[in-house]
Amino acid sequence: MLAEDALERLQDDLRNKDLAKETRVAIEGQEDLVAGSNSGELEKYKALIQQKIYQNVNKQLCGLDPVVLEFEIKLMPTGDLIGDAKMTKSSLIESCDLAVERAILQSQPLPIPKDTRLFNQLKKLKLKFQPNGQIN
Amino acid sequence: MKVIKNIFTSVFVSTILFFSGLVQSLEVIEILGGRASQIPIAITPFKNDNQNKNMQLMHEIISNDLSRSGLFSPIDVSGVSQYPYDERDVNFSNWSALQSQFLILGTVKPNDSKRSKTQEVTWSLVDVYKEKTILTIALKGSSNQYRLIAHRIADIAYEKLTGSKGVFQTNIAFVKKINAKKYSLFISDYDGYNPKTILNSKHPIISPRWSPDGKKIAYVSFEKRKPVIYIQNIETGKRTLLANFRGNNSAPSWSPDSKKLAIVLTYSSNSQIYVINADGSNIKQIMRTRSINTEPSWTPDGKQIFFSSDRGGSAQIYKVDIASNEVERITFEGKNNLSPSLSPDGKLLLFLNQEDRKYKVAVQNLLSNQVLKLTNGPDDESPVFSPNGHMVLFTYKDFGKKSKIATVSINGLKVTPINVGSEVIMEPTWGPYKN
Repeated sequence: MLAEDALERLQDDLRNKDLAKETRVAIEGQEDLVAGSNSGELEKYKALIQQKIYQNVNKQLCGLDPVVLEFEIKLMPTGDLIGDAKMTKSSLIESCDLAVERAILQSQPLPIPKDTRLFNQLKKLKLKFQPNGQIN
Repeated sequence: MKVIKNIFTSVFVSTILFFSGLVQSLEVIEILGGRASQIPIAITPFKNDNQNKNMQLMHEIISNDLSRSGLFSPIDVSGVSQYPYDERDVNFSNWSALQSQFLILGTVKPNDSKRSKTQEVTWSLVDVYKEKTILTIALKGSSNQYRLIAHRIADIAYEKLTGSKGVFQTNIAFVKKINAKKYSLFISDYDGYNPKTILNSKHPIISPRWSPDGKKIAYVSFEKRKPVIYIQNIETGKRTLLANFRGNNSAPSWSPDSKKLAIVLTYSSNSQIYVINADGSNIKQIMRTRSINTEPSWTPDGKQIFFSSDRGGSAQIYKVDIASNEVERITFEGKNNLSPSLSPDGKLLLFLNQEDRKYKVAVQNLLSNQVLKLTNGPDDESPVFSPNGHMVLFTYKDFGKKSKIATVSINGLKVTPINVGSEVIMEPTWGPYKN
């Protein structure tokens, strides 16, 4: 009986330690996220990704009127896409949608940080395109 | 108690992990504008078992068409060791390594029917990045229709990839000055091939303008020792005198419905714009001013006319509302701006810009008023839009100062001369889409 109590206590302790560890990791992750943003590393890689895709967008296929498109992408640690670029908002111009999708595909591999924690923040991205300039 | 504590801790951890996951998924990158200007595409020689020489040229014609548009950069495939003739033969990684985004391939074979001498061209447009065939189409025609079939393929691919109709099966017209006493009005394919004379004259012919319905051409002739305007039916060759009023009759411009023309007369004073029915009836002056108003060009909705005028001290482009006669100045950049015309969607103004003694073809975005010079001059003239507004046909002076014609893409990236002879070539106009 005593042995059973001791075993249960030991299991509870281990469980609590694991939960505490998970909690600490999650909290540290949050802190890193904020720290990463503040340090500018995250912004640096966002700018690099933005530049690489920008080079490949052919806005001539999007007419002259202002349009907005949105895509969601998931990235491998190599900077290549996992699956397709998912269009969540269309320009309503087929040639424009395809041109922007092509620009994303053509930009592989995207510049990705080696730091795992930073990569985790960039592995899922929402890309917002305004090929003909910003809509006010 | 312990169990409740554990559940509480688990929920707390899960909530943090959930929200941290959400934060990750919401990372947003905004991309304004874009820098790419041309689509790299490979067009491989078609498989041609019966070695038909005409058909061997098809991939070059398609390549030239797409290149001329300025939206595509055909890739040099001459170094490729083995061409794919079927979509199943495509090695996507090889074409991707050549930076080709798309591929056009095909085969030519004699049509099975024994009585017919036609060829069947089966071709595919392949998306290299997505590793899939976009379309496969079989076209039939005689071997001497090889240019037409190639233009048709280019048109289909162009429309599929740009969303706009291609113009590779349309026609142009131009004037050839054979010598001081012989002028000819020609029509040809858009790239200058298959030219046909529709009018010969001992006197200059200027300002030919194709009617939007494609049936007629209006032009100015000097055969009555002064400029007068004729309309000629292209199919029958029959022509009618539209305007032979006192003074000069010039600068015809068709209304979008082909029922009226805006013309310029010096009937009562200096050059003024009038609108006249295509049968010569019901002439009406637009605006009454002391300044010169000339080179009218209708907006696609037929409600306004763009024109050039010296009313501001130099030649600039204005527009007038036909119903109200209200005038608005459009161009402000440059010493002089002349020869206006509107793109088919009415969003771009095409004109001739003069600065530092150089005449250049330019376009102005009428939404942003941004101006883009398409050519470098110095002696460019007579710019006209293609029916899709993606190219411009114009005249330039060659090294011997002889007038020639060329196309320039609307992004200004591709200027391509049209070779229609060694004579003086001038006054081009671009025909509409064929029905």
